[in-house]
Amino acid sequence: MSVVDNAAVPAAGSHRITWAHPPGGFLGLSLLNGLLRILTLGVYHFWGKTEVRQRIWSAVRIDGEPLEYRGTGGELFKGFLIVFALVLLPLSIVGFLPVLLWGVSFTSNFAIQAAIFLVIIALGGFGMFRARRYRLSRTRWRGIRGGLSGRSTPFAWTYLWTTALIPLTLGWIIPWRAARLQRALFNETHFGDKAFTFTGRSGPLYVRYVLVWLSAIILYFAAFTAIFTVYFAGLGGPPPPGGPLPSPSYAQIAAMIAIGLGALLIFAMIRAWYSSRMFNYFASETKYHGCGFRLTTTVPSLVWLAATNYLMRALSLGVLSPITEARSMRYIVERLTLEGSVDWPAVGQNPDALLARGEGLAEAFDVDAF
Amino acid sequence: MSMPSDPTVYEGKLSDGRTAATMRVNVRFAEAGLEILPAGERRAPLVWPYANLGSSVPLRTDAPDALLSLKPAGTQTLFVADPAFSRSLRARVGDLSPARQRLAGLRPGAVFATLVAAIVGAIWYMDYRPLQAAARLMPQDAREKMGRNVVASLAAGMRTCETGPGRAALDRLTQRLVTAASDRPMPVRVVMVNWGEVNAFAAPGGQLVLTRGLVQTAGSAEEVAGVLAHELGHAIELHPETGLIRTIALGAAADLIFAGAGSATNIGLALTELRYSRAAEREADTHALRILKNAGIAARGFGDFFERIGAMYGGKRRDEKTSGEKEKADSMGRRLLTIVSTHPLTDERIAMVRAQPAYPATPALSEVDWRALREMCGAPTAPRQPASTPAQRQPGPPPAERQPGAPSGGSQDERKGTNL
Repeated sequence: MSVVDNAAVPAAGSHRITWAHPPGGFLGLSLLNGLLRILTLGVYHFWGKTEVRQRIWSAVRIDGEPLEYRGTGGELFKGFLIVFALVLLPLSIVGFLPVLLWGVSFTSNFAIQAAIFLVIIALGGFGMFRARRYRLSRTRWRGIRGGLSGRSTPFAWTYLWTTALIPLTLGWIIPWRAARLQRALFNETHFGDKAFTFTGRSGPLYVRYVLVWLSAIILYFAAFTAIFTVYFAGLGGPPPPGGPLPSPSYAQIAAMIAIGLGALLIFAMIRAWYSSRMFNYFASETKYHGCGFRLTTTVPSLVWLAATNYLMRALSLGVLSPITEARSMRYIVERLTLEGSVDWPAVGQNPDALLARGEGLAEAFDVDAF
Repeated sequence: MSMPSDPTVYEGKLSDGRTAATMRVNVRFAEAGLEILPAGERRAPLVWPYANLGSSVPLRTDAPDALLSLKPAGTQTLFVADPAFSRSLRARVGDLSPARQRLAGLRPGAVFATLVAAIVGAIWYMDYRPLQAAARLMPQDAREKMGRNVVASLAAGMRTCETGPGRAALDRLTQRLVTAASDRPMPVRVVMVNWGEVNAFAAPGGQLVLTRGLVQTAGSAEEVAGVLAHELGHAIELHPETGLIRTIALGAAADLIFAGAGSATNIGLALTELRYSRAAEREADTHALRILKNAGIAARGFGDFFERIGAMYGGKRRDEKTSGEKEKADSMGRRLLTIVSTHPLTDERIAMVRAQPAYPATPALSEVDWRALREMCGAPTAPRQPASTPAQRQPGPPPAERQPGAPSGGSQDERKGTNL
């Protein structure tokens, strides 16, 4: 079948990316997966996850044609087993064997736990890169595969040192780091034999980040001042010096919790105001083979999505996370427009050899570049 | 395929897997497979055998469209956006249905679950205790160090009473019990903590803890001997070590199965541990009776102590205002295999001790030794001297507000981090 596109894409106008909600939705599938997972002592997790992805991917339509997820449960399971044998098992043995065999003191044990934590952060970048590479290589549209070229080691290294600098720079590296990691990932992202390009910089993000940073500090102190005011107001005077502090009343505790949650919510709004700008800006700086992207996330909708997804996951003990994943994907898809037209016949198949295994490392550490 | 061909022609889009271009095609259900013919072209159609068809999602009967390719790795794709096509395809190729796809995915999990069930069943049937066996593999000095860590963290902020005639008395009693417990030498250390709570527990490596509250609540040296023998029973069975290994093993297994569902897991683990600790208490009681008999110490004191505890918890504790704190203390106690835990039910334990036939016995301690033991951490009635540690670390209300001998309802939250 070498006939070239005889029903050509309309030359003018942009492509459309849409969400076609799948028949059956995600509730029944979530519950079924949860049940089968328990019955198989956890092993079905990987197959359940695969079906969820198949359903989410196929709901995403470009010019009416669905994306296709081609990964398998077996691949994810194998990836997990390898990471379990090479990383998780050794780490947990290092974690508790010294206590069992040599009865090391709690301080040395704390040092061991800290070292394990560092190893996990160091592996975080690997996990992120590999998960993304696996998912892209298993994603097809019109039979053409996505892909992530480049190697995971440089990315993991960048991820590690920029993470280490977050506390050292009091958080000021965060926008720069975000742009840097995004550039590393997107300039290597392919659809077929053509790469995406990302030209975003961190400068435009700093205006809003300054406010996020300042508001974090102001809110922190304001909330603490308010909480202490409530506490001491209830005592009707300064506490006796040296003596134990009296317990606050239930009304006071409720007020203190309300203040804390209120401060958290205000911070979430400000943070979303920054993130929204970041997402939209990053999308606008991304191009694919003549096609641009426009993303229009908004602050209230982002906060709503994050808060409801969090509650749904927490209250269902994770069983409903397929619904939250679908909602996140739908949120992006419905706010994303493609600007310009791609010459599809000029996009050839991705030459990358398929990877054999799944995304074990990311699965194990719960990192996700999505 | 036994199904006849279907004359209906559906419109579809075919991509050749070489470029992202697409072409309009006409699709028909033929007998041999799906017949795909580029629109307006006169050439032989592609035929995709039904048995080789793969769908991008498990095909539901209500699917509005279908995206197909050839198994296992065909890069050509066919997209037909017509619910009638999906329905017909489902009728012809049952393997594409969600149920069949899931069944295939369930196979590894079913094998695994069956294997685990078989192993667990075999362990149960042979009455083998893998965790205790693992605990026995731990070197003694490691268990001892671990136990010292546990005792140290539990006794943080509290004085331990190490010297004087009380210490000598306690050592004499301990030695008598240890000799009676086993022919082999057994490293045991009893730490007396200056704590008002009525409590005793066994930490790994034969590290036993008694509280001032317990010794001063006990009516006789025989009662203390009974408690010590019970804790010795835990040490003999390696219950503290086994509990630690169980916590680690169950936690890891639960994490694998329910990754992320933290609280449900914790509740389940707590229940499992509760079940195990009931069995452990019974075992320790059995050992205690044997040890007391071998040592020639009357078991009556052991029963007296249970009765005392039962009266305290049944009566006095009920009208204390801080029931929440009591529960906290109880849940911590349960995890540490304490003597004062509520299970097995005290009545049952009393009955078990009382059912013991009488045997010749001598006093557990001399009158002088017994008094010395009671006053090891200071005289029972004297107010406790201020400890060298900061005031807020002191558990419970000041002794003056407490009835002598009654357990304090104080908060032990600070000491909850021992995780045993």
